[in-house]
Amino acid sequence: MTKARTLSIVAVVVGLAIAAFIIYAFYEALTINPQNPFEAFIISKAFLGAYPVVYAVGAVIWILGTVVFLLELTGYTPSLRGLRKSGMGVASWSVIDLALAALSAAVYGALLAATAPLVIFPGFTWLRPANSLAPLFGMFFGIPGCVGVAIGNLIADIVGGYFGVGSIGGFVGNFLIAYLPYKFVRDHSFSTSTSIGEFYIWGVLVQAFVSAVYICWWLDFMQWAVGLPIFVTWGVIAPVILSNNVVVNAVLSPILGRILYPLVKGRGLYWKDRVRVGTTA
Amino acid sequence: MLSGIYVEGRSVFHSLDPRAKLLWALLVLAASIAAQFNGLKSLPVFISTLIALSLSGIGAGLAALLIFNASVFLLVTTLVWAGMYAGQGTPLITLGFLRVTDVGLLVASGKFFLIVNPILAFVVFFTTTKPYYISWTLEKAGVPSKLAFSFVIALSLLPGVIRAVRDVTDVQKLRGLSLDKGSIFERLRKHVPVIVPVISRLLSDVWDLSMVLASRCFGVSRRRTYVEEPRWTRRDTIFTLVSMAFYLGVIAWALWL
Amino acid sequence: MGSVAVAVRNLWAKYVGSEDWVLRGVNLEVREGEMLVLMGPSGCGKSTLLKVLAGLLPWVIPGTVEGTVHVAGVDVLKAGYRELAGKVGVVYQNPEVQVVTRSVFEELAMAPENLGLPKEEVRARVESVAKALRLEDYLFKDPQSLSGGEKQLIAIAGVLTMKPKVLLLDEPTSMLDHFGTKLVLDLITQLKREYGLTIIAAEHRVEWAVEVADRVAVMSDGALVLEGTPSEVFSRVEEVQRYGVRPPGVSEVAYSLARMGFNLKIPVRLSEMEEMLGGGR
Repeated sequence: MTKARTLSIVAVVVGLAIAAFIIYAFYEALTINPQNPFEAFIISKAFLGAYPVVYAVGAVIWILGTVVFLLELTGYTPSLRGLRKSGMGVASWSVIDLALAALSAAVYGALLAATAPLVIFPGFTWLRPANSLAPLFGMFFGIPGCVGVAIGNLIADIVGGYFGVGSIGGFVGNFLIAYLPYKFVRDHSFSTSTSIGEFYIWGVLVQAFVSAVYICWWLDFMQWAVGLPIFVTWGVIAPVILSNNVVVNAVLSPILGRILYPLVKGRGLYWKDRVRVGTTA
Repeated sequence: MLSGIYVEGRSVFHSLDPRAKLLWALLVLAASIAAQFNGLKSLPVFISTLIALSLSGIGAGLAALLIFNASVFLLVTTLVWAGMYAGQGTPLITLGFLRVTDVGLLVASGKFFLIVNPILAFVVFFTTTKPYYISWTLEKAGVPSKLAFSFVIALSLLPGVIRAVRDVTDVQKLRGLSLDKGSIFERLRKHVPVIVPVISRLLSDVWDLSMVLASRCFGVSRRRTYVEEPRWTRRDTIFTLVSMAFYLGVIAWALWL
Repeated sequence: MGSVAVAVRNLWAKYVGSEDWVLRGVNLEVREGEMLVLMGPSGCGKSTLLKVLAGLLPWVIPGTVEGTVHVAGVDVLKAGYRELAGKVGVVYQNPEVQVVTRSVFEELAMAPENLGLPKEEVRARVESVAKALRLEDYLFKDPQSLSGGEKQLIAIAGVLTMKPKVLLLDEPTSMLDHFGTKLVLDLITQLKREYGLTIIAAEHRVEWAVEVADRVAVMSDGALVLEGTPSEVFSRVEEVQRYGVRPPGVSEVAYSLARMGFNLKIPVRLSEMEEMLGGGR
């Protein structure tokens, strides 16, 4: 077995183990403190216990994430050799890109709004199966898919009656959920162990952490306008986002990716078949 | 029931310029921020959003749903913020671990209104503003027209897609799919037969929609015409002046008086 | 009828990823004011031909196209679909994706707005088309709430506000019920008879085509195999049937009688059959 294959299998096992651990840890916390399980939930304790570090890391993630978001919209993508033209900036969108962004947004928003969250334990209702599409839309459709996910989440907020200052963080945060696997997973087919292994690293673990920290740092920074106390932001919301994104994407996204990739490719919609990433800017 | 999607109507709010409504929503947010530590001072802002709800013709059912959702926030903020200020002020309620003082209640209600007032204000904005005008407003604000248009098309297609999701879910349930039985992992996996048909339809619709947009000359002209540009009227001026006077008054009261 | 509106010479076309050519050596000419109905079994290339004429293949939909195609004075394969903007209107099968706004007025105004025409011009065109198609009562309705047939009417109206020189219709009634079909076919008939538009329509409804079309073209396996007036084409009953097209009922009846020994000219219209039988009004 090659080293790459071994690493991939390890990534999958670790990803699934983390997903299972999260569920188990919350069950334990609920047993210890039924009134407020987040007080005993290990992920909540980790965020709150290391708050100064988390806040500093969050600021860096927020700045980097926002800069990358704006760069990609303007048609530039960061690489090891500097900025390159991505060919997918909004200004160069063709009608297909526009249709992809609009329909991804409508479908993602509709699935978030119209499918009930999974109630595992009372009080922990934040498993949203529809979130499994976010990394897939990025990997399959590129930047239009990432923007579609961002707009879809915004639409779900509007439709659900939750639109507010926090939605701005959710907009870019969801863009990053789709963007990270698009950018860093090399094989989007879900048909090789390397493909699945890389997905578990970038599309399950890294995006879950980055999106949770990005969104909650924004909520923390804008606390004066949002009204959520810090221990709710980092003790409840961050663990919920992290847990949801890990569990849902670890279980559902690879299954959906394996089924949908051939359909996307067969329809000529896979971004690598449509766009040529350019030379250094 | 879905809020926040445009609902055709002829209410007072429907007739206002979207810029006036957006400014109003931002004033609600600003006043709620200013009064977040004193619920009594934020109460007038909350009442104003309820008046706006009734003036927007949203309908009693949706308004009741929004207010019910808001009461959940009230419970949470009371417990959280009142708990944080349990050591300050005169105790009003003591129930086991829960100790609510007058200071805690004022802060809790202020924080509650800070969450809820902007939500209600933006629900009024989105339900009374046509997607066409939202696109116009976004473009005026500097958002690239393709991005604004993606948002507006997505909003317009949303009701149809939601219907499709519900139809697929109903059909799969008739075929024996049970989304609420089994372990967490099983229940997650059971969503595959709902999600895959919806995505399959999306993949067909993308080509159709792109051909329709090409045929309707999208992106041909550098500057798109808006034939129905909103027109600022005297009513908008009066509404804006009254709003500014009211909410700036609340802000002054909250911060300085 | 005037000069040539559509000229196609030795057209070969295929989609990306497809090994076989979908269109094989198609030659076609349509004069201004003429109505041509394209017929043929599913998969014969009718939709692909219309996509090439509209500039969508290969400019929007990736593919390979060889030959020459001139539509409304534009060399489509050199210039692309943007040059055809405003000159060619296309209506597709699926009414659901052809209405993308929340009011009929906005649908009708979309194309002239995208062309950047002055506001007064846009408004005048919308009102004129709405009056011509008797859609005034629909102008402020939500198109999402209309029936399939009504949506197709709106889609056609939305294309007419561009004042196109050529109207392409790709099986506009295939997803409609009986009432919707009648609405749409009556409108197309009206456009042909009252406005003299150059129309190319892919349609299966033979009895309607023989009444309205100036010419019919039968396609099979990517090639144009029969072409002429409805009488010229459908009197060749056996040939038409061999190519997978059902001739008009009266033609089939007359053909059967002719095979039995009756000396009959093959009619294509009910009125011709009535005349032959010595009846009619």
